[in-house]
Amino acid sequence: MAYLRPATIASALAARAELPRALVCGGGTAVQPAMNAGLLRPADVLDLGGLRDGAAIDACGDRVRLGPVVRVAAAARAHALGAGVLDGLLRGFATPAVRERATLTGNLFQAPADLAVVLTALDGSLIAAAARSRGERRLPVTTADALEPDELAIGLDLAVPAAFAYERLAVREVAAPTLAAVAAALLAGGPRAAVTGYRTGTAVPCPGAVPHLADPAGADGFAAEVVAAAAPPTPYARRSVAALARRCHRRIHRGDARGDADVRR
Amino acid sequence: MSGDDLVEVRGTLDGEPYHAEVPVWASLLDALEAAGRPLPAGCRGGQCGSCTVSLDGVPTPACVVPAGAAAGAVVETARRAALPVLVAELAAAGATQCGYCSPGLVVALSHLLSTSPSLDAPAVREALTGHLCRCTGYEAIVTATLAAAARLTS
Repeated sequence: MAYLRPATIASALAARAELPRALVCGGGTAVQPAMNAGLLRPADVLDLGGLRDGAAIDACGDRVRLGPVVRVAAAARAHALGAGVLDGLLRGFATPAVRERATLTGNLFQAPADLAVVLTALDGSLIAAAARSRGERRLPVTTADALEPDELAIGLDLAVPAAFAYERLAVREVAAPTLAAVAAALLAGGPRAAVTGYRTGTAVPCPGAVPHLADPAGADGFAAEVVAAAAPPTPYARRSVAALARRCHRRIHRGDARGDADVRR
Repeated sequence: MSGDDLVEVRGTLDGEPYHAEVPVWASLLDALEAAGRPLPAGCRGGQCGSCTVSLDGVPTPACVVPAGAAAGAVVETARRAALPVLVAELAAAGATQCGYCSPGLVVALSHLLSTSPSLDAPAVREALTGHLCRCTGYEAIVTATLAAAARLTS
C-alpha cells in the first residue's frame, strides 16, 4: 500500500505509469467520502493535491488553460474566464468549504459531474498525458472515463466567452443535487450551449453551433434545441428545461449575462 | 492489518506536533481520532460541517481530506482557531444548544470574522452553508456573529 503525493506533474505521470491502478485524488472531496463509506478501498492512492505546477491558470488569447488541481473557488476568484462565468455555478456547487478544496478537473471524474455542463458550453477539453508519450491529447470534458490506464488529466482548456449564462433547477439553492441545468456561451467560434439530462446529471452537449442562441429573437428556437438535447422524461420536466433555456437566452442578450443559480421549482 | 498497511501522518495540531498511523483510505478526521483528538463526526461526506477544522488557515471538513494529504499541515480545531469574542456572543445569544455542530461552525465563522470584519447577514448565512444545526434554527448564530463583527470593528 502506498499514499503518493507527487510535487510535480512530471513525477505524477511517472507514478501513474508505475501504479496504473492507484486511485487518483485531486481535492478529495468526492473520493474521500466514498472511502469513508467503504465504497472505495484502494491499495494505493495517487494524490495530485500537492502539485506545485498544477494550480496555474494561464490565459492565451481567447482561451484559458487551467492546471489539474485548480480549485473551484480559486477559479472563480481568478476571473480568468471573464467576470461572472463561474459565479452562478459556484452558488449551486457544494458548500463554500468544499469549493475551496474541490478541483475543476477532479469533478469531471465524478458521477454526476456537476461542472461538465458549464465546461462543455465553454468548449472545454480535458488535457491528458502519460509518461511514455511525448505529447498531450485532448478529450471532450464528458469523456473523462476514456483516459488510458497510464494517463492522467493534466489540465483543462476552455474558451473565454463574450457572454455566458447558467441556469440550474434544484430543490434548493445550495447543497442540493442538480435536477437539470443549462449553460450557454457566446464564443469567438460561435455560440455554444450544453444541458444536463434531466435528473441524470450527465452532460449532453447541444450541437456545437446553436444559431438560435446568437439570435436575440430566437429564444423559443433555442429552448426547443435544448429540450431536444436533454430529452426530459415528462411534460413538467420539458417545461422546466425550456424555461431554463429561455432564461439563459435572455441573460445572454441582456448584456449583463452572468452565471446565475436561480432555483425555481 | 499489518503495520506496513498504514500511512504515517505527522503535522501540527493546535500548535503541537501530532502523529497518527492510519489506513491509506483514512481521512484527516480518522487521523485525528487515532491521535487521540476526536472531532464531532456527522455525515463523513462534507455535508454537515461538524468536523470542520482550519487546515493551513482554510476552514475544511476534516472528513473530506485524505489523511495523507494533511501530512505536514497545520491543523487547528475550535480549541485554538476560535475567536473569543465570537464564543462570548454565541453563548450570550443562546446560539449553542446541543453543541455538536458548534466546534465546526466556530472555526468557519472565526475565519469569516478574521478575513471579512465588515459583515452582513447574507454573508454569515453563506458561510453557514454546509453547517447543519438541528437545534437553533440558525437565527441566533447569525445574530451572534453579527454582534461579534460589530464588537471587532468598534
